[in-house]
Amino acid sequence: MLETRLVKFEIFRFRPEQDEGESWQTYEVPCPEDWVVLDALNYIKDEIDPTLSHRWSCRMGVCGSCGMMVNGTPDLTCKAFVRELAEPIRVAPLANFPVVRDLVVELDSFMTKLKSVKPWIIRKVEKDVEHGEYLQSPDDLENFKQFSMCINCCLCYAACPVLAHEPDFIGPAAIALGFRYNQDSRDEGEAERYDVLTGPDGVWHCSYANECSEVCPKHVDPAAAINRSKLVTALQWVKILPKRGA
Amino acid sequence: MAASSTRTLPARMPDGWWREHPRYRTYVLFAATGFVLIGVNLLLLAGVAALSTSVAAWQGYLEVLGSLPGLVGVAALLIGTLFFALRWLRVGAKIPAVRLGPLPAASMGLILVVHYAGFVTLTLLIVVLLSGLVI
Repeated sequence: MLETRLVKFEIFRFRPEQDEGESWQTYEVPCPEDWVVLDALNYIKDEIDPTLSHRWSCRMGVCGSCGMMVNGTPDLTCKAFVRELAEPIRVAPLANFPVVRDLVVELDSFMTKLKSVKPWIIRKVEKDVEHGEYLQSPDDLENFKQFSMCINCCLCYAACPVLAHEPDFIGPAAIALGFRYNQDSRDEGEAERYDVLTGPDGVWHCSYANECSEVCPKHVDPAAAINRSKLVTALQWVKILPKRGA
Repeated sequence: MAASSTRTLPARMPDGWWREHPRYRTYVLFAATGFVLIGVNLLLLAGVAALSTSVAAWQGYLEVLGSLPGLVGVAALLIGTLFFALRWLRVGAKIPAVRLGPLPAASMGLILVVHYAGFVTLTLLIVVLLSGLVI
C-alpha cells in the first residue's frame, strides 16, 4: 500500500459566467506517492469541487491536452509527479493564452498559426499510387524525425518570452513543424512556406531564449528548428541555397 | 476564423517570470549583454579615434584604460563578452547541425569541437597579437 499524504494545491479559477477576474482556490488532496498533478486535479473534480474545469485525455504524455503552469513552469500535468513539487503546488492555465475557464485556455490563435506553415507534405505533382511510394533513406528520416515528435501541447508557447510580448509571433511548435516538412525529402513546399517563416511574424522574432526547448516534453527542440530556419532561409535569400518547390 | 463569443481572460505572462526562474534570468542577462557589446564597440571606436587624432590623444586613451576605473570597466566588459560568447557557443552550436541543400547535417560532436576550438584559437590569436609577441 502506497503512503498517502495531504498535499495543498492552489488552483487558478475563472468562471466567466460569475467571475469578473481570476482568483485562487486552495484544496487539500490526499495524494498517494505515485500521483501526478493530473491525478490530483481529477480527484478535486470528482470528490471535492465538480465546478473545476481542466483538459486532459490520454494520461500518458502523448495527447498534449493537459499542459498547464505547474509552480510557474509549463508542464504536462500527467507527468508532473506531486512528490517532486514544492508545496503549495500552484496550478494555472498555460501562460500566453487567453483563459476560457479555470485551467482551460483558448487555442484558436495557435491553430491558425499552425495552419499558416502548411504542416503537411506538398508535392508539385502527386505521384499516382501505381507508380509506388516515395522512398526515403534513414538519413533523410533523421533530418526531420526529431521535429515530427511534437504533440502540440503548447508548453513551448507558454514558455516563450517573445510570445509574451509579441502575440502574433508564429511561435515555436508551428515553426518546428514547418521546418520539419521543409527538411522532409518528399516535400516540395519550401517555397510556399518561405514567406510565412521569414515574414514579420516569422523566425526573426525569435531571440533564442531556448525556453521552448527546455520545457518541451518530447525533446523536439523547437529553438534549434527556428534558428536553423534562420540559417537556411538567409542562405536562400542570398540565393546560395535553392528553395525546393520554387 | 470567426472571433470567439466566449468571454475570456486575456493572455498573461508567467507570474514573476524573470525573478522566479533561473533559466529566464540567464536569458535576460544574455540579452543584456547587447549593452556590453555596444560598450566594447564604443571603447574600440574611441581608441581608433584617439589613434587618428594625435600621439597625445592615444597616450591619453591608454592612460584612461590603465587607470583603476578603466581597468574595472574593461574587466566588466570582458566578463560580459565572455558570458555572451559561452552561452552563444552552448545554445548556438545546434544551429549548424542542419542539412544545407546537398550537404548532409554535420554531427553535433564535430560542431561542438569546431565551435570551441575556433573560440579558443581566435582568443589566443588575439592575445598573442595584442601582446606584441608577433608584430
